[in-house]
Amino acid sequence: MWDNHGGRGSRVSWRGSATLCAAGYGVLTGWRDYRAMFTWQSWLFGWLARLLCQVLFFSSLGVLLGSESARAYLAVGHAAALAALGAFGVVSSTVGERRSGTLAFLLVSDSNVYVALAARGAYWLVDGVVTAAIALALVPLAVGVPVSGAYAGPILLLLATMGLAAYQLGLALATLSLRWPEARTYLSAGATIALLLFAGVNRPVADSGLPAAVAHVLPVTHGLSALRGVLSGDGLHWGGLLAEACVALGWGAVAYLSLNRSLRHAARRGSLAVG
Amino acid sequence: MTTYLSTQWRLVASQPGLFATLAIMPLYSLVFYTTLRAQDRPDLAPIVALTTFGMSMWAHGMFVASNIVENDRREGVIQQGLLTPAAYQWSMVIRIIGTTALSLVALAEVVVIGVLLGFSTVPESVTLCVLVAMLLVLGTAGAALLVSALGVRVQAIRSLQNALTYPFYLLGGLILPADWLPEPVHWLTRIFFLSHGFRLLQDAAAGHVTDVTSRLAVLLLLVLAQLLVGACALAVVLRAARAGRVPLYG
Repeated sequence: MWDNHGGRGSRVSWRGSATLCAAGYGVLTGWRDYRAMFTWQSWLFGWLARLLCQVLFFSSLGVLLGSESARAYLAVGHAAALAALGAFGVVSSTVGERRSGTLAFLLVSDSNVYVALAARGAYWLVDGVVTAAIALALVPLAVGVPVSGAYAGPILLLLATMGLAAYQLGLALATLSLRWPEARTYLSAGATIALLLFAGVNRPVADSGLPAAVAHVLPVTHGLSALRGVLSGDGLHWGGLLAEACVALGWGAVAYLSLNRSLRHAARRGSLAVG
Repeated sequence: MTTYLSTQWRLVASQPGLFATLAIMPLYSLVFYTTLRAQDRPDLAPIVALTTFGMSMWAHGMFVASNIVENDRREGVIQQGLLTPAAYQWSMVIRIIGTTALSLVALAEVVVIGVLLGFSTVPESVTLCVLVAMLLVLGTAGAALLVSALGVRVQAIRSLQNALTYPFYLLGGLILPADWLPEPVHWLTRIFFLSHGFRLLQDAAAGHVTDVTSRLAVLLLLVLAQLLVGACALAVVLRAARAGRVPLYG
């Protein structure tokens, strides 16, 4: 693959292949990590059951409020938000690179750190989208607002985009958790609470002021709004999907720069403990 | 006993991550309070304040149990501890109860956050509320002991810790009374200290509690039973580990 006499074109080709290779190995090792973390029984009766209970728990707040519409709103919001909350798992799991000693090798290598880490934790993204889809199919049914199977396509598309946006935010936060591992729980929980407060999960998004501004740059806000539109029979609002994709792109750029530039720079300066 | 407590305190102080649940979970009250404000139901603020306290207390207990077992396993302390006849089990019990007790702070946190946001969250019967909360914390420590025993046994302690939160918030009636749950689990809620204690806590906060003595006595019994079950389970697992019947690693 590598040709010393091949000039710039060969180098680009080599880099592209190496990046693909790193991504492939990342996904593969990530999948093995995931398999080590869960058996199908512990995933089904532990993890999934817990997430379904989480959605039921928050939707029961609607019962306390004495409002059926609030209950449905909370059930849909919290079920869909699982796509994002699952993706935030990458903030903690990435710290494993430090503990296992692989971060040092990754930083001194020629590999693209963003690609390697994004591929390595991609199972969180898939897990989040799958669990959100299951919760969205089951919980609203339990609370009396069944979701029609006819909307499956747009719903999955929106969940995947929301999950991707949250995953990019998670990777950006992983830069911080790699520097300060003890902060990982605070980071992912802080991001979770921010989503629940501002992104329209528990109550409609604020119209103006700082909460509205925060909501617009957070994952989930636009996608969830579009998803609620789909569920109410208005069809897919492409503007919402596009806005969510833009949020994903924006956080992706932040994650790319922070992981590839800032982290490497910190390692070179010696201000980053890598082991 | 003081040695175990001071050891645990030094470990806690050197690992700010151990305070994570206590620092974060009370912030869920913001989510609840803002929802109440959006729905114009400030009258429900005392209930959701207690809900958040219950979440913080339980999550902290589970976190403490898994953290202690995981750290001891990683540092090789479990193996060394097993060489002592009974001290390790006793140290685990004291460390888990001592650290779980810190979750009482969350009660003050959620009340203060509510007051700062303009809600009336101060309980009507403060003394009774604090007494019930202390019993609940002890019961949670008992549940944490049980989880630590499972953690020594099954190794995948983090997954277990994660799975043991929201199902128990529902079972404990942290938002809605346990009667709201399906009929088949009603018997479970009747013997679960959290379901019983949380109803008493909510009544005490609202200031219309009846049969205080008998309800406190039942709660005390359930909490002691939970502590006993937790401590016995830990003793059994550690004895099995000492005899080589429980693989501590992979």
